[in-house]
Parts: sequence; C-alpha cells; structure tokens
Amino acid sequence: MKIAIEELAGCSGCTIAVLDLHEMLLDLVAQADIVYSPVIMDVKEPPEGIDIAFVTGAIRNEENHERLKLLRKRAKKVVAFGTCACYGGVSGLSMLSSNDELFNYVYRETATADDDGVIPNDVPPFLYRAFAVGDITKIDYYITGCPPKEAFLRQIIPAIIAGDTLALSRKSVCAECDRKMGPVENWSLKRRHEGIPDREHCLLGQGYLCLGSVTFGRCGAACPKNNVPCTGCNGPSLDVLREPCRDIYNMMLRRISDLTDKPQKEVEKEFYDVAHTMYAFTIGSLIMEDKENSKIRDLVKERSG
Amino acid sequence: MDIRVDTDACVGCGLCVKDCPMDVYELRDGVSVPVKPKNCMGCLSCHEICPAQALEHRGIYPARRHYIDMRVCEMLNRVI
Repeated sequence: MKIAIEELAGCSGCTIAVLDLHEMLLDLVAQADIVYSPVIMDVKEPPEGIDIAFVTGAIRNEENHERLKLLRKRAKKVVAFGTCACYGGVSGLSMLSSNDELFNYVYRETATADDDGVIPNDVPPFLYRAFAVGDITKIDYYITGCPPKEAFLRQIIPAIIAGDTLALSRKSVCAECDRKMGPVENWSLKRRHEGIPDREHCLLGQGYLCLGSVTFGRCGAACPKNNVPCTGCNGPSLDVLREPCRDIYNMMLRRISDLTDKPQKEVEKEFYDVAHTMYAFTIGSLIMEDKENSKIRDLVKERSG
Repeated sequence: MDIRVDTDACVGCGLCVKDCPMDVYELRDGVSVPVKPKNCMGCLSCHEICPAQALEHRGIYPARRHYIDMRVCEMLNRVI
C-alpha cells in the first residue's frame, strides 16, 4: 500500500494533522508506505502506482491544477483531505480581492516584502478563481476539517487503509456541543471581542455568531466548549449541502429569527462582514456558490472590483 | 409515523416544539419528545430547524422528493 499526501493552495496544516497521530504513525507506516509528501519528505514528484492520494489545499494557480491532474493519473483513489480541498477553504477568500490587490499586498505592502517592490513573473499564474478539488476532478472520498481533528483521523485513516467501513456521526457541531439552547429575549448581535460568554448557554443565544448549527461535526465541538463561537471550519453540515434551498446564510438567519422572535429583516441588519463570518471556509466551492440563495456570487462580485 | 429523537444530540432548544404545525413535540427534561406522532404529516419542517439534526422520520426523505444537483449527490455520497 502506497500513500501520498499532496499540498496545493493551503497551509500544510492537514499534513501536520496526520503527524499529530503521534505514536499511531508507527502503526500507519507499518501498514502503508508514505511515498510522496512535500511537507514531511524530500521526494519532488509523485511516483507511479500510488494507492491512496490525500490532496490537501484548494486549486488557486496553474501549478495546483497540473499537480492535481498528475496525481489523479497516478493514484487509484484520491481523497480530498481537509476543508480547502473539499470546499475551497481559506484560500477561497482570495476571491474577495482582485489579483492586483493581492500581489501588491504580498510583494509590496507587507512589512517583510523586499524593498525593490518587484512582483515576480516566473511563478505559476493564478487561475481566474479558486476551486475546490472536487470542482475540477473526480474525487473518491471527502474528509472535511480545518484541519481534520486528530481523534477523528485516528478512526478514519486506519479504516481507509484497511478498506473497512465505519459508522461515524454525520450530524452538526450542535449535536456534539453541551451548551443549553433555548428561546431568548432582547437578542442583539455581538462581535467576538465584546464581553465574555457564559459557559452554560448557547453562544448563538448570547448574541455571538456561532455557526455550529450549520457546520458538519466530528470536532467534538472543541471551540464552543472553550467559549469560542464556531467559525464553520468543517464546512457545511450535510443537510445544508444536500438541500438545494438551504444555505449557510439563510439557515443561520432563520434559526436566529426563530430563537429570538425577531423578524428576519431585523436580524439581517445586524450581520457584519458576511464573507468572513459565514463563508470563510466555503467561498471557493462551486457547489456552495451554485445554490439558489447563496450569497457567495454577490459577495465576490461586490468585493473583487 | 415513526419519529426518532437522538437524545444525545438534542440540545433542548425547543425549536421543533415551536415550529411543528401539528404540535407533535413536547420538551421533557430538556429533550424533545414526539408525544403525538400520529398527528405528524411529514412536512419535515422540524428537520430544517433542528440545529443538532437530532430528528429522524423513518421512511421519509426530503431529497428524494425534489431531486437536485448531480454534483451535490456525488459529493454527498463520498463524504466519509
């Protein structure tokens, strides 16, 4: 069994999540050879005859695209690994700026940029937008998470390698959260830096924009349990993905309105920076963008200029 | 109607109680209980509103009624 872990437009955190298996890695390498992984070894090109290729990161430039095509040819199974690969992830947020803005910022405006201000032209050019890998090629399995959490990987990776099936939860983050949710009065939206949320009650009810109810679980609700509202890093929950009329924005709106008895129009007025607060991890996904009531198209149009 | 509530997942928010047009549910000890399952007409509006996806109506599948995007179905089958 040969496995490969590829890095495309991402932060390599997903590969580090595999390394986070710690001593279980020894069991993993006893079962399978890691033949290619730019983050953890020195091989430059994926060899032929890979059994399972884990692809992490989105497709943002031509090199990413070529790499993905090559890997698809050389691997029997391709697994989209992590939220960037499944839904475009944080890399997709680059669609909110024009290419000029991005290159100016990276090569001229940051404190660590060279003084000469030269924008290199010998690097792979950008594609016209970001893609999730599933938008470009056939994918055999999707594993979401930013990164996929270690406790979950401990179950899923040995099963994939052995070809076993596993029954895993397919519910949202709320299903794993231990906070009490209930109707609230006088609700108003709070920014994250305002006040300290109490540990007992639902963060959404307390006014924080917690995306737990529209986000796929398997993280053990790690953030809400530590008083941090869910940012939606696992991608949309499966009901939001499945139903054509459901989208992250409209389901959040509806749920807040039902919890608070505030009309949807009023709630909507309080939302801020929807691209970053609601679509931070799914903005690069064509599947999420093509939903009838998705806000992604408008946001990208409005902000990229 | 055979309605199952995943009591571990249920967060006791009472949205299904409020949302159900036929008053099928009641909150008992912080968990939703389908007290009048016979009244259920299978609209599944409770599925839509449940933040924890704790509800299951045996034999009714919303996605089988109005069929959708091929890409979505392909992806859905492959999320593991």
